Amino acid sequence: MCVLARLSCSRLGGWAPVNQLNYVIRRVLQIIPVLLVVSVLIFLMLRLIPGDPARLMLGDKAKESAVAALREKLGLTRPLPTQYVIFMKQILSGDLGTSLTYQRPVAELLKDRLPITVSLTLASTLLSLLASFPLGYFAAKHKDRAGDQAVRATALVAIAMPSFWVALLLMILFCVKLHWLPVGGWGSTLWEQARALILPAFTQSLMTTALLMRNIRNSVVDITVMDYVDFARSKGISEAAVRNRHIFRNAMISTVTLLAMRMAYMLGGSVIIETVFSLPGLGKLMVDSIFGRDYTVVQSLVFLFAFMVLVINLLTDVIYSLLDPRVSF
Amino acid sequence: MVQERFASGGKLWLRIALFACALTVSLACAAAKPAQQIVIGRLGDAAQLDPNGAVQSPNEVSVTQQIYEGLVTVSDDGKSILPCLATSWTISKDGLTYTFKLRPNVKFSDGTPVKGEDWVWSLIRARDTETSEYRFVADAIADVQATDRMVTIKLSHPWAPFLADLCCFNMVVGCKAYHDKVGEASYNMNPLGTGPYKLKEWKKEEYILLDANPYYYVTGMPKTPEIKFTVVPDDNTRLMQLQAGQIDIANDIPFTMVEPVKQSKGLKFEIFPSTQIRYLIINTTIPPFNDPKVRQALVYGINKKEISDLVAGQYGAPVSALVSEAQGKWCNSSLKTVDYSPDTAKKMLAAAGYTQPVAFTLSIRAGSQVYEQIATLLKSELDKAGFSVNLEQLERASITAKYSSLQHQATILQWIDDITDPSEVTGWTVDYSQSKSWYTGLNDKALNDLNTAASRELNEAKRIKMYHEIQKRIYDNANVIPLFRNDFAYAYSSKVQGLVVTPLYVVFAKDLVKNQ
Repeated sequence: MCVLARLSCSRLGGWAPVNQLNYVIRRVLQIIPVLLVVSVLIFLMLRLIPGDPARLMLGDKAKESAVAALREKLGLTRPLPTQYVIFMKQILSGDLGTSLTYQRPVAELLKDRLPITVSLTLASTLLSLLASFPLGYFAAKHKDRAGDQAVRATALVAIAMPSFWVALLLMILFCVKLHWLPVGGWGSTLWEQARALILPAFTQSLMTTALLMRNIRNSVVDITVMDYVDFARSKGISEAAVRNRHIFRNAMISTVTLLAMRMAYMLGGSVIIETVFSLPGLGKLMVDSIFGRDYTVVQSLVFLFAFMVLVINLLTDVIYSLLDPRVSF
Repeated sequence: MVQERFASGGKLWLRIALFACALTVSLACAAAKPAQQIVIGRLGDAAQLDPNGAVQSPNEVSVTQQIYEGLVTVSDDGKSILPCLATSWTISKDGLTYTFKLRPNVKFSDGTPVKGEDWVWSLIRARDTETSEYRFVADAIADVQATDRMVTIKLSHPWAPFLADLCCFNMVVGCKAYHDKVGEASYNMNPLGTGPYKLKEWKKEEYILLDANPYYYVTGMPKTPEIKFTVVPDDNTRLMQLQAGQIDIANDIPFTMVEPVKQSKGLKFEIFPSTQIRYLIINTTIPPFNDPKVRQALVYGINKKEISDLVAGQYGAPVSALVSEAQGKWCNSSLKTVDYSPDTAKKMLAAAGYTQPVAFTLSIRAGSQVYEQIATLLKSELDKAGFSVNLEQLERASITAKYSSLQHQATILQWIDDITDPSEVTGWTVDYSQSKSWYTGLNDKALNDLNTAASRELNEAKRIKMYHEIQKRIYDNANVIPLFRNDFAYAYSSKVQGLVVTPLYVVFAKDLVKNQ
C-alpha cells in the first residue's frame, strides 16, 4: 500500500530531492502523535497490571510501614494524572527521570546499554548480509539441486535451533575447549569488546541469515524468469550486469523490508542472547524493569523502541526510492 | 686452542645451567605468590551500596559486607558472636545498657579516623531510615552515646537478640562527615567504611571491583588485593566461565550442576550448612484453609522426603520446625516429619465433612526451576490425598501483590536467616503487624505475645523453651509448613583457598587467597 502510494506520488510529481525532504519532514512530524499515544498506553498498562515497585524493591522481609514510606518517597502515592503530567514534563525537558530500582538517571542507564545493543545489532546484521546474499543467490542458481537443498535445509535448521542452545554449544567449543574467546561478558577495551561480540553476534545472526537467505533465494528464483531479465539477456548484456542491475536490485526490495523488521526486532534487544552471554543490553534491562515494575525505565524504553522502529521504517522507505526509480514521494 | 674453546664452552654451559636454575627458582616463587585478584561470578548486580538503603538482596549485602564493619561479627559456623570493631563489651543486669570498648586507631578507607559521632550517627540511622528493610534490628535502640573509645547503647526495653542484631549487615559504622559532604544519593553509590576492602570501580551491570583498604586495622589483611564481583545471570554461563578460568568462584550453583562441576579438572565443589528452608505458606483467612482440619490433613498429603530428594538430593533434608537446624539449640528438633499418608489425609478430610476433593490454587513464582519442581510434586502427592490442586505460575511482581494482599490460597516461599537468633523468623511468622503473619493471615494474639516475651527474656534456657513452644504451635497450626532445608552450593577453582560461607549466607572475602 505504501509502495502504491509512492508510485502514485511519482506519477504526479516525479522524483526530486525536495519532495524527498518534504516526505521525511512529514514522516518525522507523524512520529509525534504516535509517540504520544504510545506514552499514554504504556503509562496506563504498567499501572493496571498488579505489582508494587516499592514492595518488590524492599523484598519479602520488609514491613508494611517501610513499603509505605518507600512508596511515598518514589511518588507512587500521587494521583495517576499527576504522575502522567510529571512524566511528560520530564520527557519534554529531555529528562527521562530516575529509575525506581536502580536509583540512577534513566538516561545514564540507556547510555550504558544502548551501545551494547546497537553494536550487537550491527554486527549481527553485517554477518547476516555477508552470509545470506551469496548463499541465497547460490541456492537460487542451483534451484532444486543438491546445493539448493543443502542451503534450504541449513536455513531450516538455523531457524529451528533455540538460540540459547546454540549459544551454549558455541561457548563450550570456542571458550571452554579451545579458549579462543571469552565466555560472555563485555570487556573494557575495544579489542575485548570486539572479541566479546563475536559469538553473540553470530548466534543472533543465525535466524536473520536464514530468513534473508530464503527470501533472497525465492526472490531471485522468481525474478530470474521474468520477461525483463530475458530481454536484458537478449540485448547481450553481460551476466554480471544482469545479476546486479536486474536480479539483485529487484530482489533487494523485499529483502530490505525483511531486514528492517529484523533490525527493529534486534534493536529491541534479545533477552536470551544478553542473559546467556552476560551482556548488559537493552533487552535484559526491559525485562528486568517490567518484572521489577520500574515504571520510569519501561516508559523510557518503550519510547526509545518506538522511536527506533519509526526511524528504521523511515529509512526503509528512503532506501526503496534508491533501489526502485519508480518509487518517489 | 681447543682446550680454550672447551673451557669457554664449559663456561657457557655453566652460565646456561645457572640461568636455568635462576629461572626455575623465580618461576617457583611466582607460582607460590598469591594472585592479585579473585573474581566472583554471581547472578546480578547491586542496586546500591548503602547497608541501610532500600534494596538489600544478596547482590548488595555480599559487597557491603566487605566494605563495612560493625561492633561485633558472626563466627564462621554462624553460631557465636565475636568481637570486631569492639574488643569487649558488658551488658547491664537489666539488659538495657550495652557498653562496648572500641578497638583503637581504626580508620575509614580514606584515612579518616573513626570518631564517636560516627557510631551515634550510624546506629541511629539504622534505626530511623524509614525505607530500610532491616531497620527492625535496631528498633529497640533508645539512645546511643559514644566517645572515640567507647560506645554505649541504651535500649527502650530488654531485647535478648540485640547482640545478634548488631552482627547484621546494616549495624555498621559509616563516616558521618563523608555522608554530610557527599549527600545521601552519592553515599548510596559510593560507600566508605572501615572494612578490609574499598570500592575501586563499579561498572553497572558488569562488575564491582574492590581494592584493599590501606588503613585496615589487621596487618596482612586482606590476603588478596582485589576482589571483583562480576554479573553472570545464566547458571550455565557461570559454570563455563569457571571452567575457562574467567571467574574463580561461582555461587548459587543449582544442585543439578553438581556432577559436571565434580568432573571438571581444576574445580572444587563445596557445600556449606545453611539456614535456607522452603516453606508452604497457607492463607488461613479464606476457604478451604480457614478450616484448621483441612490444613492438618494437608500435612499428611505432602511427601517432604520425595520433594527434598528431587530438588536438593543429598544436599537437602525434610524439615518440620520453623527454625533452621543450623541455629542449633533454637531449633525444636523434637518436631518430627509426618510420613506421607494420603489415606490418613483423606480420612481426616472425610471426618471434617469433606466428601469431595478439596480444591485450591497453589501459586508459584514463574521462572524458578526449584519452585516448579516442588509445585509439580506437591500437586501429584496432594491429588492422591483428597485434594485437587490447580497450579498457577505468576511473575514475581504479580505473585508478590497476590500473597501480600492475602488473595492467594497457598504459595511456596523461602527464608534465610540474617541473624544468629530465632527471633527474626518467628517474629516474621507470628507477628501480624509485620507481614500478616508471613502472609498466612493468622492473627494469633497469644502466640504473638509469647514471641514478644521470648524476645525480651534474658534467661537463655527459658528463651529456648519459649521458642520451642512457638515452633510447636506453628507446627500444630499448619499455616506455615516447612518443606525441606538445603545447603549453600559453591563451585570454585582449586587454586582458591579460604572460602567460608556462614549459614547466614555471609562470605568474608578478606581470607580468600588464590595461588597462581
